[in-house]
Amino acid sequence: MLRDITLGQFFPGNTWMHRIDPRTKIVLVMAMIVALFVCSHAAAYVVLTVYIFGLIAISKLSLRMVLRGLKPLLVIILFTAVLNLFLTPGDMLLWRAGPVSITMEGIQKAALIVARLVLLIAGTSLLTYTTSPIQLTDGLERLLSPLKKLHLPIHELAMMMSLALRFIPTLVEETDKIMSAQRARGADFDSGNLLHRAKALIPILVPLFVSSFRRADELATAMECRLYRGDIGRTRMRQLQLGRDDAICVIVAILFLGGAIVLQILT
Amino acid sequence: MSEMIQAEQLTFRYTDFSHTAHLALDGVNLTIPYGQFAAILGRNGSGKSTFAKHCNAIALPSGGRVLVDGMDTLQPDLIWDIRRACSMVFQNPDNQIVATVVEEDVAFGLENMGVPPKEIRRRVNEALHMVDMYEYRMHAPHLLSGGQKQRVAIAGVLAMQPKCIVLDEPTAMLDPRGRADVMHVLHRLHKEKGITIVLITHHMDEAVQAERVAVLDHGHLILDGTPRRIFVQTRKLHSLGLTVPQSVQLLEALNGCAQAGLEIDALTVEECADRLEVWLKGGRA
Repeated sequence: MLRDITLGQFFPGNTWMHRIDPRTKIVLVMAMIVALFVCSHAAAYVVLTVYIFGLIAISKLSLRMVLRGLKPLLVIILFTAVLNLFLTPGDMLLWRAGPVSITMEGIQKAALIVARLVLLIAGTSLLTYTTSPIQLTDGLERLLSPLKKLHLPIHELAMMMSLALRFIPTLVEETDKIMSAQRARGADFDSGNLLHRAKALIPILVPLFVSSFRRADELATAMECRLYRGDIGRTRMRQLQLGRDDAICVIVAILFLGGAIVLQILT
Repeated sequence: MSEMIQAEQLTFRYTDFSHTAHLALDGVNLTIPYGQFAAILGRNGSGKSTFAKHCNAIALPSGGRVLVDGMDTLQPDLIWDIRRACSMVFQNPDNQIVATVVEEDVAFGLENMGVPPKEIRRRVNEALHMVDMYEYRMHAPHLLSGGQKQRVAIAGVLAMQPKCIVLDEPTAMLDPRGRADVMHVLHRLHKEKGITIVLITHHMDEAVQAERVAVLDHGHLILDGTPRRIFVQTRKLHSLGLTVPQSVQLLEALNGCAQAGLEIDALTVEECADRLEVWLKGGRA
């Protein structure tokens, strides 16, 4: 069950999307987020949907994989959709029962929220699926490097992020192992009320914490052995270079995102 | 002429949670010359891992000193040069792999050293070829087997071109196949690159393949010599909580119950078979 977690995971590949500079991708994802929040009109959303799912198709990511990334957030999506559906006041009343009612506006708003969240997750996971975490943090580090002048620990933050991402699968595997070990000793994680289940998690979390600290300690030693001393005198194997593909990518993004925003303003 | 690793009266003291002082190493004198393949044996708590940590200044002596490539580990400004000369590979491959793609992990040490990008690329490829992991350079480490991960870890230190690699029980968590692959790589590095290998282990069949075996117990150096001279001392090894290779066990047992009068220093299966053949033919004649 824990193996379903794919949010924030990289799928190695060699598509056009994989080769785009991470800085370009990060900036464009931010532009996409802005566009998603600026737009609310259906026509604009059609453009955005075509754009995002078109990019997913180019990256040769299976739709199932992208949708699986939605699963952990399904509850939030449904929750906000239901709230919006029933609690939006409006003139076009369709159904009413006491304080709750369904209005045409409510339906529109709920649909908008669902579309917005789904596109948001699909679009951002497109970034993490096609960019290796090291590239991602590399890109972030370069984008934020002007802040180093203000003595902000940008390199350290980027390193912490990439290590966290590196250890997600390792810790998931370990959690699975601990759960199996506890099950074999008669632990029950699947029945009882919420409090009971939360309590049953303690015997998993304690060993997981202990072993995480041990791992962190060993990892720090191993990194020191490989001469890691922060940002001092570091070079990179992969040099980031903006090329023709990045220009094309930006132009396509401007066309679609700009188009969506223009549609939003006009209609 | 300096030696690769030279421990003089090396003592390491530590206090546990109940504030009792322990001596993990107690006056160890051990010199490992350049280009040697040395195995260090000992049961749990014998001080062998502590010794390994002194070889690249992760642990610093409480008494005595350690010279690595002629540099004293107690001098703080030499620490990075020492770690460049002598790298270390640990037991758990998961806890020493930093990156999410194999080749980026191998590049990590070189990036820290400030090597130019083109040179990093060249050395990473060379290191991956040396450990037979070049085809896996774009893989995610967590999808590799234990033996493969450990070979990636070895490539990571190999790319830094150290004179010496210290390995702290690198095969303890591996299956037999992974162990054989790792040992094969170590022998290749030793023969083709002339790298000094210090292998901390408790597998006798691995120690047998070394040029020299040192046995530690309770922080003291007990035995030191070629495998052939060490492994015939079966009684002594048993008293230290160690086993001897099965071939030696077999020959010794035959000597005991059949008065075979065999020389017991057969370290490999082939040697053992030869001895048995001579004995059986001689017996019939």
